[in-house]
Amino acid sequence: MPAAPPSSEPSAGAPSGPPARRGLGRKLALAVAASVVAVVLAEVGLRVVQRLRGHPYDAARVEQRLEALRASLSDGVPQTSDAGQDAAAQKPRAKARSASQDLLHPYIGYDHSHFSAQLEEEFAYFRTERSKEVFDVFVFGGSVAGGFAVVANESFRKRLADDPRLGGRPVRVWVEGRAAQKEPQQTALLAYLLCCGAEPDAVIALDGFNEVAVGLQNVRAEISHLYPYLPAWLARAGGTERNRAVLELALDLQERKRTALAKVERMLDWRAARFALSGEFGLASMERSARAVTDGFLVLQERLGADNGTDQLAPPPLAGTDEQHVDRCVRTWVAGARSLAGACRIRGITFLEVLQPTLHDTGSKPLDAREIERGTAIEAWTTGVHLGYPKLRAAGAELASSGVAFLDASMVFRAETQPLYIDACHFNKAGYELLAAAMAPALLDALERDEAARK
Amino acid sequence: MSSDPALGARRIRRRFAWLALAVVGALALVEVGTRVRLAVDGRAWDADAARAHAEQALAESRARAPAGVATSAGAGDPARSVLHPYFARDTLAHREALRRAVELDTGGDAASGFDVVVLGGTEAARFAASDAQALLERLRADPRLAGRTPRLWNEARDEFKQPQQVSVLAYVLASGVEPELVISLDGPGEIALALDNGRAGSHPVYPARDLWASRVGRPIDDPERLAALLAWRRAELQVERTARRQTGFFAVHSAFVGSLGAAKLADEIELARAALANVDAVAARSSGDFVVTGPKHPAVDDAILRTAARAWFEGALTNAGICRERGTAYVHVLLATPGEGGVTPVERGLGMLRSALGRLATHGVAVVDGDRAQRDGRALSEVLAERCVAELDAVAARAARR
Repeated sequence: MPAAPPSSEPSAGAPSGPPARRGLGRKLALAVAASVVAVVLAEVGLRVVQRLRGHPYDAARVEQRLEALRASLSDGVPQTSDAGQDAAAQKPRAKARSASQDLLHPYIGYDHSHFSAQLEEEFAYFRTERSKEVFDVFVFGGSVAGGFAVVANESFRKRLADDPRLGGRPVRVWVEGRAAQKEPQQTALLAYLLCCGAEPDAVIALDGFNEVAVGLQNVRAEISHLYPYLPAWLARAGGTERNRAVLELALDLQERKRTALAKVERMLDWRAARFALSGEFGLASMERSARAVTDGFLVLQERLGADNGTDQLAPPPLAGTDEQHVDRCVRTWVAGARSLAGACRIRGITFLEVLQPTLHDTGSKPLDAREIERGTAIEAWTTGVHLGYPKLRAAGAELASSGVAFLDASMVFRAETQPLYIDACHFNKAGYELLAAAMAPALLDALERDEAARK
Repeated sequence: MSSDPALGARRIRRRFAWLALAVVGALALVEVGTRVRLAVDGRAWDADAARAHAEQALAESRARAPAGVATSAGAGDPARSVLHPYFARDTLAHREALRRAVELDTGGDAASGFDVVVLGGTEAARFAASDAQALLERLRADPRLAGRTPRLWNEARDEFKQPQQVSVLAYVLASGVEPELVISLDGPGEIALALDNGRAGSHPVYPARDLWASRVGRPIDDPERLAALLAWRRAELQVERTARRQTGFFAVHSAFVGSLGAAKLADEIELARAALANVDAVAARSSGDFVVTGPKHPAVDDAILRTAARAWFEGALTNAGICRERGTAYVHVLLATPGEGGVTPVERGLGMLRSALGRLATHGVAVVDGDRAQRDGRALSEVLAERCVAELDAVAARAARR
């Protein structure tokens, strides 16, 4: 009996394909499944370990830290929003497209490159009829003021616009805060903007911290407290790139900044913080990249000091104790507030001086462990705040008694137990919203007083 | 079929040995072939020359730099200028004078002085240095000073224009000095310097080009130039990496490895040179970056004049407001403007300032019209002294009303 030919049909239920390929496919599938299981186990394991150590994984914390790193890498504060724009356009730009640079500026020492576009838009806007209808508010100060005008822009705008005292006028809140800036930069910036045609209806100075903290930091570096934040000023004023060695350091720093910024934006885009594995390891990697940027900056700064001689770029401070230095910082803040008030009053612009809250101001907020951990600051900052804030509060009260609208917001978080600080001086959204809730009525009151005085 | 494991292992070892031998043989052949080929081409392989070439490439890479960038920091570096963060430029003499003013005004005998600050540009500086004596004499004789010594602080600087006068005043005040009287003298320079700026592509409100544009404008501040520079830097880093590798053992002792590396190095040097040429080309076509020129502004005379006149008015008003807030007397002098009302751009600009002077007066600012003093045949210092005394009276009256 002849042997039956081998059937070309697979038997029912048997896998198709030759056995070797089937085996390979099975192995691959197994490997993929094993990898997935391993990742899941690692994720679960990491979360368990963190929980056992008393620090359960907190995606929001990682996300906030990434946001803070992005903000520090892009130096800051995106653009403003217009009351007349549609909802999508009203959202402040969520992220800087590329690393913003500090540019040398003739009137405020340095400015961030993304403000150059805003300035042109601003000057063009104030030539339009639309600007006459809108109630334009300028918010001056350092990065906290910049952050406020971005993060709390919408709620602050709404609080103002909804108040009958504005008579239904649309409101636009302009970001005029620049990272690390302090008096007399706010006054100089307002003067410059006015000369270029800006016509705000209200001006707010939200400041105080940089004046005493950065001011004392300058003094520690043997530079007058009046000069801008030293690293930014030296880096821009040093005539840096006119020799190749410094140009290389500056370019390498730019490269590091760009790489780090791209990385953090990728992590935020991919929402890496959702998982403990990608969140924690990604954040650790990001912190290393940020440190590399800082290291690059310090190397550049050292080289700049060596090449240019800081004595020509900034005068030394007057002699004195910490107490005397801080007194001078406070006097500068008062002088700035009065100058801003005077520049506004003569034009009928409403002005409000706001003393910002800050983490190291004792008794200003019950701090949680994370805030304490993140709030570490250099000695000059903590000393500046400890010595300076009581003096700022007293000086603010004197300003108020002399007729300058003043809001002491330094204690606005006093009863808040929720975490609000993301580092030594910046807040999360909840913090900015609390500040907005305090500032809006203060500005409206100041407006009402000004109008009454004019009648 | 034999399944002796020792036999299998021997076979594998033998195969590997053959394979290694074949690779070594092939490499030797390639090496010999390369040397023969190079010799035939008249470029016989020379290890020392190869190393020297790589070292030279490295040195040349270090010596390449964009136009205007020195390859090392020298004492004559043109960037060694005294910039000021709030008004573009300062002199050490002014810096020292302000330090003295702060010490006097915040020290124990602060109350014994009557501080007068003079603001403005070149003409104001000259006035403060020579013609202000009449004003000081008048103040000394004023009974209100009662034993206080008038002290004049010349805070005017060559080629300054608004908002530099505001910045200077804000800085002086921020330093702790509380003057009793502030005088601004300006006008003609505002128009001439703004026109010069605007026509050359700078914003009229930016500092005079002599003070600013010639001292700043570093390549890294222009995004397009920065991109070109980064591309050049990457290319040079690649050249340096390859050149360093070329000084290594294999590159020096193997004609094959060395000549491959040399070809790669030559390509990379070309790329670096092209990148450098691109940096210079971008710099050459850039009429000026934001740092140098400020925001965009039409380079049309009428637009420049309007901006200049507005800046002058707003600057003066700001200074008046700053002083009024403190109860400090403020007087603004529009310096004599020959040719005002004419048809040249400068004359048209001066006409705009004259009408802005009237608007300042309507805001309650004490003003002095230099032209009028000239027409009346009176010395500016005399008219100014009268106006200052009247303004001091007005300030005292306002304070009394409060």
